[in-house]
Amino acid sequence: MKKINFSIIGILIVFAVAFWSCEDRTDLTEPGAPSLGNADFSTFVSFGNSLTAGYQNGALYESTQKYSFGNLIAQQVGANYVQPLISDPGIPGRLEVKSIEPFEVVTNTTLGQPKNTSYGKPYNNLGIPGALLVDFLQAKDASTSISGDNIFFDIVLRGNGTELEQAISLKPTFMTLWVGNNDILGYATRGGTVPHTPTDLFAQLYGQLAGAIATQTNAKVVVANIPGVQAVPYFTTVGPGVAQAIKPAVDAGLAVGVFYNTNGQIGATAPNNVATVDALVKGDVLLTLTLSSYGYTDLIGQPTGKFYRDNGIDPALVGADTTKPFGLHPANPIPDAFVLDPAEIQEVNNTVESFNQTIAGIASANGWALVDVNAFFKQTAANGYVANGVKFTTQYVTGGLFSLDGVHPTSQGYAIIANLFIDKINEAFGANIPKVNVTTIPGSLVLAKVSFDKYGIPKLDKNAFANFPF
Amino acid sequence: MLKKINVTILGILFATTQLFASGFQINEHSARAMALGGAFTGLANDPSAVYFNPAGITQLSGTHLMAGVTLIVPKSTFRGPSPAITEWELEKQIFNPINFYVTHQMSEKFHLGFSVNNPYGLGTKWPSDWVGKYMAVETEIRTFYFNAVAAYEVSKQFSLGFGFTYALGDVLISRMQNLSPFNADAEISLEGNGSGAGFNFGLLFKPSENFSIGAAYKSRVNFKFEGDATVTAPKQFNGLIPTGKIEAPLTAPDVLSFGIGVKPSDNLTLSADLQFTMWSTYDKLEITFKDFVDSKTGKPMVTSSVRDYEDSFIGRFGAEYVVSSMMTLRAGFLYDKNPVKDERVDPTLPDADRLGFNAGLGIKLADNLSLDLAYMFLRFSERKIDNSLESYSGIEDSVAPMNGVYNSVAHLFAVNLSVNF
Repeated sequence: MKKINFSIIGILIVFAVAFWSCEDRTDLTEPGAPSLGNADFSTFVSFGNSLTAGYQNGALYESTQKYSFGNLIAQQVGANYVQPLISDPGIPGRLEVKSIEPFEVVTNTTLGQPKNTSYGKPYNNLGIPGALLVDFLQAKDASTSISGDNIFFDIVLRGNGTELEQAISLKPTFMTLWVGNNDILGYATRGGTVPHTPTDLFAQLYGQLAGAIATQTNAKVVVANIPGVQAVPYFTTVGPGVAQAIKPAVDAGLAVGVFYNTNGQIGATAPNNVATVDALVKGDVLLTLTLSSYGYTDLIGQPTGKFYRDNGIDPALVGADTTKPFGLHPANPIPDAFVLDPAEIQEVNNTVESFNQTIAGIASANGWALVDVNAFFKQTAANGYVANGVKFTTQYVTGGLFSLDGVHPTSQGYAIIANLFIDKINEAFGANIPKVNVTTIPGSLVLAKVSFDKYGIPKLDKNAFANFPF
Repeated sequence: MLKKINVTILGILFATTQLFASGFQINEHSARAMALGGAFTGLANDPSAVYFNPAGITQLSGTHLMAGVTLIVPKSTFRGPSPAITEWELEKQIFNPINFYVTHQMSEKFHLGFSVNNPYGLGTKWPSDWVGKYMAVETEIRTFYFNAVAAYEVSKQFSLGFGFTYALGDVLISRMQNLSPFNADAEISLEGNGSGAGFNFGLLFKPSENFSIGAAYKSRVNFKFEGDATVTAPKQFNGLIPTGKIEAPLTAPDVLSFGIGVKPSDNLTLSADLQFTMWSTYDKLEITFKDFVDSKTGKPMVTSSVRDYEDSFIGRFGAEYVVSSMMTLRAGFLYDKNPVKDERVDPTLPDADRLGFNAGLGIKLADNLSLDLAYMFLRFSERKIDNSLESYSGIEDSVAPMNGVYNSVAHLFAVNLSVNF
């Protein structure tokens, strides 16, 4: 019996060892904080517009505000970062996908509510959707903003001074500064029917803003420049689709291309204001997404006076002939607001180039690092961009980079932008901040109900872009 | 324009699924064999020999019946994905493979036997919102093998046995599908059942009363599973994600084992086995969606995934000590080398090399009735993956390696009743 007891004890010992050793937790250590070099994120402020706010799908809302590029950077460096959160589905009416085949986008008419309005300090994310350069210096609320009624000024500023004043009052140690986009986007998205900020005024305002930041804060600053329109699906989606739609008629000799208004003109247009199939495909003439959202793309080639009815204009008074096929005849052209013609494209490009020269010059004069977002989007439009193995393109919806509004990035798009900033911070400040794995950021095209027509033109709700601050 | 979207969704369906892997293989088919660490090929001297080594049933005179069940209680955690150290735990599940044996001596040298076993019958279930939800949520396989054998005693020293196997199986695979760039997930479940056939044979060489050598081979079983794919997704995806009838051939691998039994004294028996499982033959899993046409090929959609296993072995050792005519004590040990390469480990099956510690006892309840009990503690070596090729993002081509640390243990309890007459 002695022998048996011995072997039982032996077995018990073996078991005990086995149980004990299974609780091996040797590598249970929290990953260490990244090296920040000489960047100091103890007070991190993001200064800018909708792109800084994390706006996407035509709205600002909590579930994707957490993927604003500033918040993603803050997470990577472990910085405290408070945002003006708005409950889903956000403000001012989120775009949602109603159906995928055919692709159809609708506006969610429910509005979200601002959440942490009683936060005792200015927000770290001071991005105000729709803000122009001059607004950063002057606007204290919606009524004093240039638009006069943009509620985001009230939500972000809460009556405590301008965005610039609030940023300075935080005594930031680190800032991102991405401004000026709206100073050209309004012109471009409305087909050149409203003015853009003149380039000399832009230089003056940007200088003023930058000067205040440089002299009144000790922040290390990274600035970003302004992407051109050729990479943005708001401008590049409809034209090629229309080209495909009219090509049979053109090939049959029944049409020459789409006629359009320009220079504020309404009604019949000159016969040389025409975009050929080739021009539409190449993007020599750009048609905006609003042409689809207002329901006009479906009417191309049909006798219609819808635009005139929608706007209360008597077509006869402006020399239009609504018995002619819409878009395909100079007497019933595509209205000016939906078209960037070659001259307007040139104007946009020149303006963006001038703005970007201003930005680069001022950044360099202040010793600030510059993220060349413009070059990034240009390259991506040409070749796509591979992030963590996945290829992103500037295609509307399928490209993964742009949200349903065709202008603002998706959450994954914002993650790529955060990484552009992180690359620049690492380079400029000798930091070693890990980049965000873009593919682990959730998709952000919101499903409601989806219709590309057979030519690949998305069908959008007519109110989709009605209240659309950039 | 949106044609591309459904292609993306299809491309990664069940990119990695490991069903007939060692993690789902059950080698515990009787309490006595389990207590001996499974080292039984060279002994094969009870009715479970029908499974372990059919040649062994020539040692059983008259008619024997044996039936039992094994309770398997696994526990697995994953910490990661690196650099995160969040710990995720498998939901508790208990598996209960059964076994049933009958043997009958037909004549002096000729014996027949029959068995029912569940050689694959495990599963894993992770929380449906866990970090690896695009890789695995619930995976389960159940099989019933019906095995009829005949054995012939060629001489006093040498026996051989041969049998046919008919196998039934059903599988369930369910996981989430990332619908990025849309802000939504789909839940995809594949359920199917199928059958297959195989054979087995065994040899037993017993040059003396105190020494025996055995070898056994179980052939592969080719299952053809048929079933349904069901998808729960936002209604915008109706028709964009493959559903309906599916077909998937799956093969349970060949198993070859060699064993010895030694009797150093009247009371003590020692045994050792070496088991080889030929995992490497099966390097991919193909699922055909019979109702869903692949827009690229115009044929039913086929998804295929690489499994890329290596062959593996299990070393087994057992000792049996007869305390009295009423009671026998047993102990055992095993080492199981897992077949999955580090870079292909995924949470469908958090596999690792294992050490098993076994103990058990046999009690004679009556002259022709005995009870066997066994316990095994199975310790998986901690497995730290830092070169994973498996992505947890659920997006095609994505590099988001499922690196981290897997820890698993399992407790097994077995009970068998045997009667002979």
